[in-house]
Amino acid sequence: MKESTHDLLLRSFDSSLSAEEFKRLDETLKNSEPLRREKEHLILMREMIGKQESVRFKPFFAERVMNRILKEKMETAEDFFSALHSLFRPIMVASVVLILVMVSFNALKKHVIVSTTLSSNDVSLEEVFDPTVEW
Amino acid sequence: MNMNMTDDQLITLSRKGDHEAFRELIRKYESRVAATVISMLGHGPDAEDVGQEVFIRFYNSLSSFRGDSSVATYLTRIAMNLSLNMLKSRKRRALRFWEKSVEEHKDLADESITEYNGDRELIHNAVQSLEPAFRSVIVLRLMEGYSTRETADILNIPEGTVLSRLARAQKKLKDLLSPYFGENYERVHTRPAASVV
Repeated sequence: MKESTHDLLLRSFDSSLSAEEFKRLDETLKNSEPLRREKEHLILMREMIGKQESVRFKPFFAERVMNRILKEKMETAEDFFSALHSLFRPIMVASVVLILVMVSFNALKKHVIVSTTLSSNDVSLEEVFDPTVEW
Repeated sequence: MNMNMTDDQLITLSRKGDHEAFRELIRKYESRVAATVISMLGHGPDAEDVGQEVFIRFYNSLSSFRGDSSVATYLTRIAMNLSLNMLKSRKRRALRFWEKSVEEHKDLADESITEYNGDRELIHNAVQSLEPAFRSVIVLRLMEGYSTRETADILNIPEGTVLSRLARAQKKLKDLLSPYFGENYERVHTRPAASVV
C-alpha cells in the first residue's frame, strides 16, 4: 500500500478531497483489498474512540466550584480591607499625635484663651479688626 | 431557577451576581469540560483541579465574554489550554507512566477481549499515550465531534496542521490498538452483538 494513498485515505475522513483525489482513492479502493480492509479498520477505530463512555467529575462538582469562587471573592475583599487598614493606621496615629501637639502648644501659651483654642469663642471679624476694642 | 433559560440569560444573571444562574451554567457544561479535561489528563485530582479552574476563569471573564463563540466552544478552549499547560508541567513523568500502562494493556488485550469496559480503558490509555499535540486533535475531533475548522480554531493552529496531526495520531493509535486490527478484528467487530446475547 502506497504511503500517499494511505495518507489520502486518512485525510478523506476529515476533509473534502478534490475531484481528482477522490477519483484516485476510489479507484485504488476498488482494486486493493488491503486498502479496503484498512479503511474498515480505521472506521472501526474512529467509532470506538468516538463512543468512549461520557465522563463526569465527582458528584457536587458545581457546588465545589461555587465554594471556591465565593471563597476567592471573600479573600479578595478581605485583602482589600486589610490593605486599607494597614495603609490608614499610620496616618491615623500621626494625625492624633499632631492634634495633641497643637492643642498642647496652644494651651500652654499664656495669652491664649482656652475657649479660643478650642474654637468655642464666638468673635466676629469686625471685633477682631476694630481698633477701639481692647484685647 | 428556570432550567430552560438560554445561555445568554444565565450569563446576564450571573453578571448581576446571581450565583444560582452560574451554578446552572456549571451543571450544563460540566460534562463537556470533564470530557476534554479527563481525556487530556486522565482521571485524578489534576483533572478535577483543572475542571474547577476552567469555570473560575469563565466566571472571572464573564464581563468580557462577548459571545463570539458558543459557551461550549469557549469553555473547551479554556479547558484545552489549561490541560496542555498542566501536561507541560508534568510532561515526562506522566508520559512514561501512561506508555507503560498502555504496554501492560497491550499484553492483556487478548485476555480482556471479552470485557467491554477493558476495551474502553485500553482505548482511553492508548489516547493518553499520545503526545499532547496529537492527543488534543483526537479528543476534539473524534471524541467531542468538532469539525477540523473548529478544532483548528480552538487550538489556534492552521487546519492543515490539524489534518496532519490527525493522520499521525491515527497511525500511532492503530499501532497501539493492533490487537483489534490483527487476527482478532473479526471477533472484535462482531463482539458488541455477541455480548448482548
